[in-house]
Amino acid sequence: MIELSAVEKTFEQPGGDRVPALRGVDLTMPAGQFLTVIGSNGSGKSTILNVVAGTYLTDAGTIRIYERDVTRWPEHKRAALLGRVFQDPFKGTCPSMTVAENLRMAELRGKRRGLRVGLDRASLDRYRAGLASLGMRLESRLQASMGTLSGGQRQAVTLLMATITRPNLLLLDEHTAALDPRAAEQIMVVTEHLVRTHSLTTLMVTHSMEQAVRFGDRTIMMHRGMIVADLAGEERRGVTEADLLVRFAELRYTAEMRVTKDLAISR
Amino acid sequence: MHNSRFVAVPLAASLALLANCGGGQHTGRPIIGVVQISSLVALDEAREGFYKALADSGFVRDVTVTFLERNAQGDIPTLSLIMHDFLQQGVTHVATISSVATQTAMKVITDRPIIFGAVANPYVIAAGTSPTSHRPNITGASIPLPVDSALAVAVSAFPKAIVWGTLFDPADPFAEHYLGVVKRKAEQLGIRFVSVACTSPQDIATGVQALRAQGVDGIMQVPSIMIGGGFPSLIKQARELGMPVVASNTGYVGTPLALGASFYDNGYVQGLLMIRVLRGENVANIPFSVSANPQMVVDLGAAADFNLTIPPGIIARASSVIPIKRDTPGVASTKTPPRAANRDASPWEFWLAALVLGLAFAALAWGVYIASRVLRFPDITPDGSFPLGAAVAAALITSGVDPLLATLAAFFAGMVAGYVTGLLHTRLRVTELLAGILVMTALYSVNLHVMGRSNISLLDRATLATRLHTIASATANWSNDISFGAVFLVLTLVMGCGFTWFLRTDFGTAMRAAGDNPAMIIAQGVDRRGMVELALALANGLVAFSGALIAQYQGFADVTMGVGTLVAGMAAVILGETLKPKRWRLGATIAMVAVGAIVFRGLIAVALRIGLSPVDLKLATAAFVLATLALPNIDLGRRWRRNPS
Repeated sequence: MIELSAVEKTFEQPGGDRVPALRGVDLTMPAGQFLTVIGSNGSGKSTILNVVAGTYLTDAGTIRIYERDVTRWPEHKRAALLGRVFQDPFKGTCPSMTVAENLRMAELRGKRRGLRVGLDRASLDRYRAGLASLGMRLESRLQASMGTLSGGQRQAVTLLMATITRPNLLLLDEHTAALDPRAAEQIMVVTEHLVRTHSLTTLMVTHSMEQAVRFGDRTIMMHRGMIVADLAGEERRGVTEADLLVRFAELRYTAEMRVTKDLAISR
Repeated sequence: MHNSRFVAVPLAASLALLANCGGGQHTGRPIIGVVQISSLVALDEAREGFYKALADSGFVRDVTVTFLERNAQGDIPTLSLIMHDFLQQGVTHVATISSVATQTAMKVITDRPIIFGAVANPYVIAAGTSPTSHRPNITGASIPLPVDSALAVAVSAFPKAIVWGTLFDPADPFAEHYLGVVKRKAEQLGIRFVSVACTSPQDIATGVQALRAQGVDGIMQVPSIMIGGGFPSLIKQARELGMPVVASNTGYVGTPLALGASFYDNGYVQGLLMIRVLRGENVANIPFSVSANPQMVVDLGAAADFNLTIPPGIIARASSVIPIKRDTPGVASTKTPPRAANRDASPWEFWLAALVLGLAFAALAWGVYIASRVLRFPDITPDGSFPLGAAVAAALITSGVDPLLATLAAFFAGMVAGYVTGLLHTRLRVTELLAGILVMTALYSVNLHVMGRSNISLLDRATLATRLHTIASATANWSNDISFGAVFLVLTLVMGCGFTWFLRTDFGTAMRAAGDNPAMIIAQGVDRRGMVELALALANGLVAFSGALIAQYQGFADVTMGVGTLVAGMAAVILGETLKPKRWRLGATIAMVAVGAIVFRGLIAVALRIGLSPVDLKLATAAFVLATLALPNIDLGRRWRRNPS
């Protein structure tokens, strides 16, 4: 189970302006849930992912991953429990190394990296099988340099790397946004396959309403650093992209009123 | 805005406190500001001579006289600051060591006496127009360097040597002058005189080879502060090739025959002049003096090492003769068995010397490769960690430690230096360049502390190659360079294989990724900061290792030998990458970086060998490196034209 309680995060702009990105966010995800997060730019949807990953430390509140309080853990320590795929296909892998080397590094996430050449026959077989399961004919590229792969292929390998340790939580940060529609669709199919096969608890931030309702078990919408809508189960079933747009326009309006009122009071 | 005032008040207070500490507490006692441009052996000796003269006349440090000793450590602008500091501190007299220090002093200090020393020609720097007609507040002792008489003595002492030559540092302000004097004398004597450019102590051994290759039989070295610091290297190489060496300064250990003055004596005369001023004489009335008459020193032990006989006529004329000494017991003597004098010049020996140097520089190239290519960290530390390795190895070897242990200790010392650079960057958030600059700067002082002086000679000391050489020179008649080459080749191969294996391990892979993609490696659970620190430690360990090898090969460690290290390392890395076929992987890249180091040394050797005007040496080196880098691209261009696709 993943629990965020009363999480606050404010960024200071270079000019000195303070921009609240998360305002007392509470979120609980039971094990195995596939949650999609939507929201406009600056709504805090990426920040929520980054505070869980440890890229930023929270100003207040606690974050627990499977009973462990990770609130003050540095990013690299939390990585042992997580799998991550970034929006930028260049960010998740090392271009100068081979696909196999990249997978080996991911497999050792949270483990000791010793003075031993880890790429042996057994591990190569394991990676070949993993790549084959993606259905993108990447198994023949095991010894290719990562830099020679296309954006979609890189994201597929990054997904395999993120899930290879069966992490407690998979974090997907708009991971199809930089791809062309065909590659994006292919990556979503791979994502769905990996998440369901390994029953991974998953938090996917997306800019696409269509993806948000089509995939996952639950959808939340962020606005101005708050969760303004939370759809799951019966309520979520049958909801279309158009429904969401209308619904969220209303919610956004009421949230806007609330923020304005808060600001008025605090002044 | 409000904050700045709170900071400013205590800052101003502490500055005022500091200023108070500095001045006004030495009333009554003369305060002599002693300033030298850098820590070169010659200048250090001059300073000691100066102190000795004062001590001999009863001026006791901190009792009857206060010394403020300053050293600009090679940075000329710092000299001006030192002079202004002298004024602030209320010095009463200034003693300048070297021409540049004197020039700066004259500019800043006009109202109190300046006594100069270690100046070759006071008229060139406009201190005066004749010994008696000079600026009112300045006098001093210039150092006599009769290079023309030195050549005449050289020719009569070693009549078998027909062609004479010298190494020449184009950056030395007086080298040109001396070279002109000695060439005129050579013309008069009807002998050929050859000069070969040498711009860094590392190039001395190759330079001597180049002289030999141009048919030079004997070396009459003109005065040069830089080459003076690397004199052991010159002696070692000349001895190996059976070329007699005559120096135009005295005081270089291992020189069979020298005619000139020692910087120590010059400092002593400078001290005597200072005493006259301290006792109340007017500076304006003290003429410039030339320190001591030129001394002719014959070192019979050194001559024996060269397998040379000094004619009795010369010995009779010598002002001092150093007899053959027995080797001090306990100190490992590793003198090369004397070889037949004036062996035929064989060109391959010249290229071998360049190759041996290249092998010693391979570790440097790998160090720079780790920082700049693997970690993508612009690390400047090598300019300090390279001489650190040399200093540590030299200091340990002279205190009797086994050369192999000393070399390993140098490696670890370099690792510490690199680790500190890493810490400054990762924990204190100092930018990459600044972190390197800070550590490199601090290491200059550290290196002086490690050595205890600016230069340690390793001539005739045990080195990594000694054990092999004592056997090989007796059984297979190997030259010194072959022994060094064999040892360096083995070391380079072992290190290269170990290094490649390390980068392939799980740990090494993570290190490579830390430079390649920081975001990714953190997401894979690696503490990137720790990785940066370790990688920099490894990089500078390799650089220091290289420094230790070079010190042993060239026969000395010098505090200034770090200049240009990073440039040489980068050149080797880039050459290696250019020469490497595109599809090659890690192990081959590492091998090619080592080849790059050898090629770079080779290109310098070519520039030396073709006998251009010495001033053009660096230009030629740059042109060769450029040509090597451009070659693959030119080739590519042709291929494109042939198969348009």
